[in-house]
Amino acid sequence: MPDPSENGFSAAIKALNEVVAPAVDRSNPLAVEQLRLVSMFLEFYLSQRDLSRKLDWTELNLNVELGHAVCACFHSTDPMIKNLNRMLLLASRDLKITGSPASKWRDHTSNILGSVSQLLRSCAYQNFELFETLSSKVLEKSGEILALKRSWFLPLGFEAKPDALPSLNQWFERCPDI
Amino acid sequence: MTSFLPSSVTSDGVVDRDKPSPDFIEVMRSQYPTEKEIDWAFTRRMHRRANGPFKMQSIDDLVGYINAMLKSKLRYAYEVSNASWLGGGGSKLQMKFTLATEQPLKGHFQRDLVLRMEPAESLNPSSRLREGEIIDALAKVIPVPEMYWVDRDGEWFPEPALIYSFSSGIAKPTNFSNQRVTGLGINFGPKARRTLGSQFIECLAKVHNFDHSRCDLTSFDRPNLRSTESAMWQLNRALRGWEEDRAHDIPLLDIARIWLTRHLPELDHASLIHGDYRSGNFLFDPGTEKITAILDWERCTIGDRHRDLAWATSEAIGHYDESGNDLLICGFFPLEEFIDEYERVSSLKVDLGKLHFYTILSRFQQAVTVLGTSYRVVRLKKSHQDILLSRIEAAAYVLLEELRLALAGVVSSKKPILQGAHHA
Repeated sequence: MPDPSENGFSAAIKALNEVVAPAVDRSNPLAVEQLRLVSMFLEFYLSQRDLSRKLDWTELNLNVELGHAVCACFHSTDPMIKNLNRMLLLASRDLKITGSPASKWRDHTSNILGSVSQLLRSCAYQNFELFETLSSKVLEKSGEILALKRSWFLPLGFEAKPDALPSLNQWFERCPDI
Repeated sequence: MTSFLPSSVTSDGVVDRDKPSPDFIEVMRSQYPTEKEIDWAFTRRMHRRANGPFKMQSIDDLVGYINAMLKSKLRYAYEVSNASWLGGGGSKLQMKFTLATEQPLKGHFQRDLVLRMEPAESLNPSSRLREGEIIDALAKVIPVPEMYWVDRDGEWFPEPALIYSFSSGIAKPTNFSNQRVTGLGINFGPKARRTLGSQFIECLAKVHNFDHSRCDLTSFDRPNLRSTESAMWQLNRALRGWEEDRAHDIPLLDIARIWLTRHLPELDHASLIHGDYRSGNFLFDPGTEKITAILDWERCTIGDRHRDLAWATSEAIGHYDESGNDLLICGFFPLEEFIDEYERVSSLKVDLGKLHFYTILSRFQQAVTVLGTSYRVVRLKKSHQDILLSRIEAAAYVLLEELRLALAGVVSSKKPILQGAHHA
């Protein structure tokens, strides 16, 4: 069954580039620039729309790993990590549910990040040695999460060395059928 | 951590940044003290945040505002003509026009001018008065537009605005196809690279060495030497923006915030600071390869020269040379050469410890601008360039990776970062 949005996106891009763009007043650089950006965004979403669930799943999966690495810095019964442990449990469960809404995965990611941030702030004031240990873990684990996002946004052209990043296919190799 | 007053919090316990309460705004002001004029700009936008989206003005509307202002300011005949949009600005709405006047003693005068007006909220809350004052102060020092009028409070225009002379020139080569599509990472090509690079550093050295003590910079606070005030104002400005604008937490930024707060460097020399000194923010004549104007002074301040240097070193702004081995800072020189040349031309020393602090601070400022402020501006439809701002979210992850790498070397290190040797 063909995806109707594919034709819709393609037709919109074609109309913008072939009909609208030539009609735009070239002496209006704001309009010329914004038209180009609209067209670029449409191309970006057209090329990656089927992968957005995989992005959300992979991002959550990496953040669950980050969360576990943070928890490992504490004693398992430490009350400070009770909230994060609970979030990790819920997130891990939802990662395994086929057809789970991507918005749910994004919410889990946001909650885990918020909880890790809260732990960092608390430790900075209460136990600086622990803060340093946590920071090292977060810095180490954040590298992979940032690389994922940079691969995702690669077509938008902000990378000085685009070839140095893994492709989206490489990222999503370990992603199950979701 | 911040404890917000109850009226700033929604029923689900989240701070309502779309409709900030007066209590929330006051908490931000007291928690993140910064320069008076910057505080004014941040406070103003927060009080107006719930007022709805930015209404795009037509050229005719803007000409009408200009005419109303000129009618009150000029005592002789004038005419405004040839109004047209200018592109290139992600932050301010810009329109070019011609002003012709008949002055009793001077006779006919005609000049192309630029109206630079804020949208309802911009990528960078700032002051047009401040921008006008610094451009005026530097008129005989480096190439800058000539200042005409400032409307600090939006008395004549729907939003604060300034009018200065139009500068000819281009921001990036048109005859050199190897450009990134973003307007960042401009490649000037091997030929123009050195000529423009030398001028780029010369202008920066002149700005940093400029004696501003006798200038009438009423909208600037002057930081005390041998204190951490200057670095603290910069950090607080970024923290305030992040707290007022962000959508969610990023642990990496919490680490940066805590590290920065504990390592504020003292100021050894109070320089004028451009604040966004990079390729893309100057114009040049492609024929003579001369810089014709240094623009976009909205982040200007009086502070530490290392801030301008560190800001320019981002990988997102530069590009790699033809061999693919060396990152060219702003598309000009590898880092070491950039620093050596700056020290030679300015006779000001570069402290590598301070440079590292300001590299972390700059990436922090850049990341919170594109992930926090840009997000909020687009979400609330507050600018004429929402689509451009939406796109630059992608740059945040490049900046965050730079921030991560810069922090990785110092976070668990016991070495006192500020004892870094002077660059020799």
